[in-house]
Amino acid sequence: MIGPTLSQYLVFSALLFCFGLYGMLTRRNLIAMLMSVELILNAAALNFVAFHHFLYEGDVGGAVFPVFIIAVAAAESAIALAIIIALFRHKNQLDVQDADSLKN
Amino acid sequence: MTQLITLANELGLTALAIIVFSISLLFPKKEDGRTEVLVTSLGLLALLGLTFTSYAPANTAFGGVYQVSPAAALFKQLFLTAGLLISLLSWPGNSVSSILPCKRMGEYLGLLLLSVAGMCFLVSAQELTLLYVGLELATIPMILLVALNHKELRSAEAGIKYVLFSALSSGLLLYGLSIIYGMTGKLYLAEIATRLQFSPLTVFSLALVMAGVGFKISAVPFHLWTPDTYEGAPVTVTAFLSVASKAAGFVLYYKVISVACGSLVDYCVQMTAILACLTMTFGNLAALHQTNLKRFLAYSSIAQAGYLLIGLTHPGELGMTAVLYYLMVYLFSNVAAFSVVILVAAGTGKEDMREYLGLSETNPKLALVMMLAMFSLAGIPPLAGFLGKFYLFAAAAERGSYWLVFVGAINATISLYYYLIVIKWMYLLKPQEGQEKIQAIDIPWAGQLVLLTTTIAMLLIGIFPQVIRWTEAVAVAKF
Repeated sequence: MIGPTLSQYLVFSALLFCFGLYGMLTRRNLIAMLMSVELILNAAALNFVAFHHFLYEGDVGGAVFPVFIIAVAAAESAIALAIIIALFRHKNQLDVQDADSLKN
Repeated sequence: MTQLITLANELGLTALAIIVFSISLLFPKKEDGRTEVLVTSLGLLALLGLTFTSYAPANTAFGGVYQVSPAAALFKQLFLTAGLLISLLSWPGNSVSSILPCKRMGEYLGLLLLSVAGMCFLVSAQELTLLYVGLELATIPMILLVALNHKELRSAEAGIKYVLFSALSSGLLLYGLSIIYGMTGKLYLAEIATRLQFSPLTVFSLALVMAGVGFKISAVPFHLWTPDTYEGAPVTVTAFLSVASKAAGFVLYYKVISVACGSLVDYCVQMTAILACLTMTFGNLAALHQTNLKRFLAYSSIAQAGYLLIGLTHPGELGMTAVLYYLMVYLFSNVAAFSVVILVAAGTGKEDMREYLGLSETNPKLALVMMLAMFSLAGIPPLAGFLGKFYLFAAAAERGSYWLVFVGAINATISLYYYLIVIKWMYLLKPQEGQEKIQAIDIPWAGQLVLLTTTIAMLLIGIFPQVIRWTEAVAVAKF
């Protein structure tokens, strides 16, 4: 069986990373920004799994790390969503450009 | 079992957090928050005492993943001290009740303790997984603390800025680490350090990691969240964030650099030196025209991070000594400055330095502590800040980066100007027509205790050379 190779996985994760970074910099909607951050985290997790599978199969570290990344990312997005809801109650919208009451 | 005893500090912190969480649930009728503060302070004091004894049979646990070296122990003492001072400052009556509601004191202090536990894990971590989990355990409760007062717009906004930036920084850090893992196949810091070879990809991944860590220590150009978060967060949380969280960030930075030591040391030193220059200069220039004291101290803490980065350009023992010593000095000076801001805000509701007119006459004690803190942060000789800066500059000079010392000295002069402005408002200016002096403030015992401790520490650390001998001895052992 011929599956995808290591370099294909790496290119895919690099693309995910770039999309995430691009989204973080250009999107103005808070939930879209949160999704972009999740893309970056998943790119890193995918890297770990790919390296573990193709290069370092004997070392469990690379397989365990993504589990922690996923758990922590879930905690982080839960908190971010809670704060977004709190902010939405004040503003009734989710545009970061409007979150500007703290300035100089 | 021996492994659990080795972890006693962190386990104690977690147990204390659970106890504090449950106090407010078990006794919902008593909502003044005093019990929680007392339990937290006494518990932290006991744990602090425990770190000075050598209770543990071994100083490593879980196959070397967790290690308590003398330097790690010193850092833990710093974090515990910061937690203790902040929990005392949270005593009801010390801080504004609308900002820190008494009935939420349990969750507030519990989260604070969990954050300290995360920092302690971070210091002891010798492996990337524990390093990452410790970092997030320190950060996630901090996010909740920043947004604690979510009914207020400013706090919620500060929270969202902090959570987005910290998630992004974790993402950058992790992506960099995943590439490093791909090149070395190891997760232990010591093993990575021996295997990491120079290549463009290594430099790229290290740059990503440094960007991620740069957010945590709010180095320019990754500082954008800092002023807004500091201003919007409850002021006791700001104090903790500017001291303990920053110290944890420096631990992380040091661990990352130590990984790169060897083939990549020159690159790391150059990147750090550039970051240091940018951070100092920007922090100082932006602090010049601030009048809100929380925002002013935020920019001042950015500048202080710049000075600390100077120390990290020296990867050897002298650099480590300088950074440890300066962090100790910075902790007490910054907490002193913040405690005055907190007490004045609690007594009068004023946060702007232009409203501090006549503080020296109505509240001579508060004005004196603030003056000492400003002098210590600026680096005036008899106080601890002077020796701290001296060692940082000496570390840079020993490596021959005299230009960095020059930039640092110019920046120290600029910072003296704006620290003196605060003193001018407190001591020199007389109220004009239509202006009133600030009224006298009644300080509870907990606030007085914090003021006394920080003042004594600022004076003694600067005068007694034993302290620097102690940090030197600790720095030899490294992490």
